[in-house]
Amino acid sequence: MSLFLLAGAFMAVMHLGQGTRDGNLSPTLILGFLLLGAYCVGFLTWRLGFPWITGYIIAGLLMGPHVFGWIPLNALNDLRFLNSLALAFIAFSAGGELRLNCIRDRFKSILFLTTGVALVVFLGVSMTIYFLTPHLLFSQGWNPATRLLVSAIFGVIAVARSPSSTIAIICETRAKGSYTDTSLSVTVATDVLIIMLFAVVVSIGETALFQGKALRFGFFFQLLLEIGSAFLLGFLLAKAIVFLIRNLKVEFPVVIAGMGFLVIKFSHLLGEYLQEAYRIGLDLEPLLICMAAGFTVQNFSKHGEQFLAEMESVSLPIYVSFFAFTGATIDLKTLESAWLLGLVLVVSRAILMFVGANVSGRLAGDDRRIYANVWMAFITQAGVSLGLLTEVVRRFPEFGLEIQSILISAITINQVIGPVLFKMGLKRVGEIPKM
Amino acid sequence: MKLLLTIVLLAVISIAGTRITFMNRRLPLGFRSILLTGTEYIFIGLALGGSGLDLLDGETRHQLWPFLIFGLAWIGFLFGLQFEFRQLKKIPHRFLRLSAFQSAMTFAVVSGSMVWYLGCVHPDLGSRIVLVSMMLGAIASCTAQSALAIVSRRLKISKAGALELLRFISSIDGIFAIGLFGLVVLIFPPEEGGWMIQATDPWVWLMHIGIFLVSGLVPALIVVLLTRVRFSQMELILFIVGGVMFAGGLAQELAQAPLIAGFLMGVVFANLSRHRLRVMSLVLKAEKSMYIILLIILGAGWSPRFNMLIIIAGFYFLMRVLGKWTGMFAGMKLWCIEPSLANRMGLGLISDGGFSVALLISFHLLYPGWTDRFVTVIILSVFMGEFLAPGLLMKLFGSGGGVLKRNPHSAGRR
Repeated sequence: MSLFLLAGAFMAVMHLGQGTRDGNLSPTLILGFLLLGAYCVGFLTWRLGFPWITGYIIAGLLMGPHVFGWIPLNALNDLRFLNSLALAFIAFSAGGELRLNCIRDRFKSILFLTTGVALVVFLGVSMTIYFLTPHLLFSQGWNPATRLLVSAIFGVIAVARSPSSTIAIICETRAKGSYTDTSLSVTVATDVLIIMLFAVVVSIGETALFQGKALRFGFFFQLLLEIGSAFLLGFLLAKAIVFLIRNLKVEFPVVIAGMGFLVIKFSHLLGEYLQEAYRIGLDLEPLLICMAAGFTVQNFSKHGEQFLAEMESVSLPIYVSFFAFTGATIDLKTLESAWLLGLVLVVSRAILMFVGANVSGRLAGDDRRIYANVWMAFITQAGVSLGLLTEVVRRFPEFGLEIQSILISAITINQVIGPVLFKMGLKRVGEIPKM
Repeated sequence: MKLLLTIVLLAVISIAGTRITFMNRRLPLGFRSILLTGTEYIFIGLALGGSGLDLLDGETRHQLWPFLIFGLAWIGFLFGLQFEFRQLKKIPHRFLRLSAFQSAMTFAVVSGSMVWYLGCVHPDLGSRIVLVSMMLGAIASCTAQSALAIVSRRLKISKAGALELLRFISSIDGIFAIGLFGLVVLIFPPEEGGWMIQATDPWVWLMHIGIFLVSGLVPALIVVLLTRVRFSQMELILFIVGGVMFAGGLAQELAQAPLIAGFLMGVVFANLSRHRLRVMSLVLKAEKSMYIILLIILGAGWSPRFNMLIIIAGFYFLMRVLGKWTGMFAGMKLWCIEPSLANRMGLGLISDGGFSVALLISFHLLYPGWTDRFVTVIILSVFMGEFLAPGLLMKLFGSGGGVLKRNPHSAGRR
């Protein structure tokens, strides 16, 4: 009923409305509509047994510029800051959910799963794409070096997962247990691994294999320096967070979300400044900083649980707007043009995840209940994968656009089916408490 | 980059401000009322705006518009939540009538006198004089409790009943102010550029009224429906934030005041939902921060020009005092409420406060461009009111109105 009322009012206003001074729909209206509408659709999908976030994504897709067009493209661009804000918030939560005692107990399993699954998926997807490219229209005329680079890029992006979706499902279902801890730990650890792997692949691609430049071995040290700096900044940020927890009561969650947003903005600005002023190429990864901060607060202060509780108290509007926004940015035309190849990628990735998880789990001597089902937690892809893809398109315009549509269609499919599979996995292992 | 810096600054000031404002400090009474009651944030805004550091310039303020819309709707929603009819019915009717009467009298006195005065000094406004005068009348008809709060903390008042009456009137006359404001917007639709609506067809009027009501009614109904089933605190935050955003945005699209949309939403919700108190405690948490940010943004956009406007502000203030005094005098005599104090009680309602500032911002947003000068008039009047109100209250309770004793527990005691 609320949904009909909401939709009716919005459509009426689109006909009658005056618009803002520059003629566009009011961003306040769009955001309010997005929040309430996505929540209502999420409720409907939950009643059908699917995760809430599937509903948020579907709501965004329907409301977005590519289906009903209730939220125009320029309005989405105006709301892009929400994405950054939400990603930072989610990164804080992801770091805060990693408890050292749980990681210690399951360290071997987490290590094996992280490296094992990443290796299997990376190699498997890369080889699949490498052998497919001679038969595809858009890759005709590519030399072996280009095919190798493109395959490696597909492999890296295939490894990437979505900590945001993982956390959202865990919060929604209130799941607890070793399967939950393992899934989250491996997903977050993979995020750190993927940044390094991506940097290696891109650097090799830009140098010896593609642009004929000499490979700079100093780049590995630079990478280590960047990751080290991110952890250090995260530690300092954690100190500020602890101060705020002690002194702010009501405004804390909003301030933290804002802080994360600022970290994202300033880290890019700082990198540019260092490059221009001191010729230091330091590319700080803001999500890593936020994750490190959350991790430090959880494990090296007395306020870990309070921190998580405060974050959780305002998490719902942030998750709803983030996933609805993600859904609204799904371009159905792109999906239509490359869905078959995207599906091939999705299926091969899922199979490789399954194989990798089972092999790694057995080698680690893990519980069968976990390694047989943990692959379901790794299917979802969202912001991180899209962020990497944007970077690929920027650095390799020669083939970036061609592969973009395939990867977007694969990521989109994974975005929709991933949460469903993860929830299924949680149910199978019995870690969702009965309400 | 500027927007980012401004947002950080606003956040820091609003968080610090909610802790500093309303603290007891040793200051002379008048200054105590201006500083640390919120009015100082207008000066902070002035310092940050075009007349000062230019951090909050026109473009940055325009980018903050969505937040302004949300803030106004939030304040209106909070105000509306107070008006649950079941609770209002318990209040003696004569008090309600008195409050309505003094509001209406203030509106009439101020509007009427401003029509004449602006006709003399600003004939360039043409027929918009009626709109401006009525708007100023509506803004004048509400009262703030800041002076009452300060004086009652400092001094032990023996006429507690009179103080309670003043508190009651100042808490409730905002509803009449907002009603009058809404009426003015209806008669002078913003999309007509501030000219009176020309329609003689009653259906056009009905449509305008319908649109006016829809901006608050629909979001309220949506939130009431959502809160009918069991929900968590997180979900409540989402419903309220989403609902208020929707109301504010709807009002903006339909060229209505977000403040009124939020108010209507609050009233409907308060009377249809069982969760009024729970929602109110949630909404109250952000109230101070919202007001502080609105005051800063208002101050940033203010270009103080101390010319004829000072005289207009002075005249407006005097007419407001006259309206309040006349309204209370006549009303108290009419309904036999503390008739011995009737010739002085109006002096206790001089304080303007945050709500009149919210009405002013709404006025300025609905009729942009040519209303800039009246921002100065209201701001100066607010300063005058906040400065003089405590002293006038002292006179009210001092001279035969009750034995005045210094409160031994007051922090202002030397």
